Amino acid sequence: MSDKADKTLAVTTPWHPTLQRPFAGSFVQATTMAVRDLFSRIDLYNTEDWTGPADPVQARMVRKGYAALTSGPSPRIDLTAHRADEGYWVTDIPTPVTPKKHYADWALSHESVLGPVLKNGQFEADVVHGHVGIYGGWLAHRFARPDARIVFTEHASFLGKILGQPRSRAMYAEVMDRADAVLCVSEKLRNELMAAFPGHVGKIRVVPNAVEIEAMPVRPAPVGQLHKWIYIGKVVATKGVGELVEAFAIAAKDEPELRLTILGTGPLVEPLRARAAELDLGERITFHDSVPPQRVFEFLHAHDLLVHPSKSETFGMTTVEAVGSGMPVLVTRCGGPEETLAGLDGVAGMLIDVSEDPQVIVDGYRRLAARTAQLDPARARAELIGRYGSAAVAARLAEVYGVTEGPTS
Amino acid sequence: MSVLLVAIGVTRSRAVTDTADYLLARGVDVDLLTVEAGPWEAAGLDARVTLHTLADGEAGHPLACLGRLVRKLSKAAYTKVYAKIYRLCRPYVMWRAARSTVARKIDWNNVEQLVICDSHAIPIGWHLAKRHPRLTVGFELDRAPYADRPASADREPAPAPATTTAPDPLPSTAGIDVVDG
Repeated sequence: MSDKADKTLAVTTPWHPTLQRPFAGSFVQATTMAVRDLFSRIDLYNTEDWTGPADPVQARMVRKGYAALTSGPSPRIDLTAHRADEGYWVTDIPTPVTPKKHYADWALSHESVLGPVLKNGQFEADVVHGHVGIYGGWLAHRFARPDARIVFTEHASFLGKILGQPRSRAMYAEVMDRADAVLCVSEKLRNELMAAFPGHVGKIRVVPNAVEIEAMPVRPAPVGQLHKWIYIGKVVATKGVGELVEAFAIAAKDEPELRLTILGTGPLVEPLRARAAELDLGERITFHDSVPPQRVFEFLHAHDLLVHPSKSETFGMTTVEAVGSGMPVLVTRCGGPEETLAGLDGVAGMLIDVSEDPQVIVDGYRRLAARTAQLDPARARAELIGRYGSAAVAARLAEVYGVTEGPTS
Repeated sequence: MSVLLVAIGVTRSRAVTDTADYLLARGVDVDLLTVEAGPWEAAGLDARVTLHTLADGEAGHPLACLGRLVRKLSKAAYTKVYAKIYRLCRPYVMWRAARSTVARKIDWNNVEQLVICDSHAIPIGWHLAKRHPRLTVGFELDRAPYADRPASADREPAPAPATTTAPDPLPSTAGIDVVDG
């Protein structure tokens, strides 16, 4: 372990809050904030996708214009770092990308814009942390000093797509070879990577991104009855929202006090609104557009039960937020949630199987409703803070980075 | 004083509308160079922003006129030949349209910054930057010159979000299409 006072960290990520995407990469932000006291300086490089023309000639003109504006001895646009309120330095780098390409092409686009921004064409930092293998890990591999420690976190739900593209997979393999440590936010992703790269099993481990659970407002009064359900997230088929509406219809027949709020946007909003009307539940199922992060807890506190019937999740942030706010959850064993709630089934809420059958949700709800009094939301929150809270994750990352913890000397 | 935003499409409309709101709240005039006005109304752009649209200029260009003639004569020739060639020429046509509208209508002495707001706008932004070598150019607004100005409350954009994540879907992009924490 080295003393942190002389250590610097570079973070490279395609997601970080910007004016256009204020909610993007808040987990990257939280994780970087969590380790800010481990280093004398942290520089975060945010290569944000700017989707451009698909036509190759037009795309070439975009690249030419971009290069002319940003490079040369006196560039017209200087992509420089600014100090963020979170206590580290951020360089936002718009990255023109072409639609209908492979992840390999997009990674090379990110490489081409980041290189000229870096002093001496490389990260000066002692440790480089990339977010997701492609692109962050690739950029760490391409631009880290030869003696720098490279770490990357995989938390992409589209990892399977990347590994399914031969060129992208080959790039990923290069990143795996160079990385000193590979962090997965869930066991599910770890298993996926271990199966794809069995030669690197020793460096792959589960370390989640930090979640500021400590800062989440706890509901003013504990939940008594589970009358007001809420779903939060994308309104798409893979999240099981269709099954949720059908399940609600079954449960609502016997319990006139039940209500459901679907908070989010997506292609199924209108079809499900029509289905709710068809089921004569238009008055009892409310649809609401997405809200900014600061308003999520307002909705959680105004409801009794988070139902999250997703088919697949790498982590399940919504579930963690609900438990962090003291709310019971009914969530499917869809990958991430059974890990985040390990040992908390019956404490934070209830886990149910992934199923196309809405009755599974109904049965889960009825079992949970019968034992609401046995839930222990305070214990569940404390457990999650111990697993994913800033201090817990910072301690694990300090070990991975090879730096000591403690106040700056 | 004024700021000129260039955004060919609405893929980054939130950044454009927030930037416009920030400037208008501080008494700075905002011009937007774009293709069509309609999508910006839908995106909630403040009506005080002066729009300079390229659609009419593009339609009046000889190449576009030629396209209409070809289409009248043969739809197949238009689709199979003309459209493919025109696609390659379109950036040039758009720049010509921009030059004939913006260059004439905007008081460049009054423009403090040029902000290139989306990928499609980069070629036009580059040409404008070359024509006005003393102009400050960026991919986002340099807020420093306006930071000390008192802001009126009517359209002030919301503050940056807290660090907790929101289950708000991201706008689709060409690259990373799904994100999970």
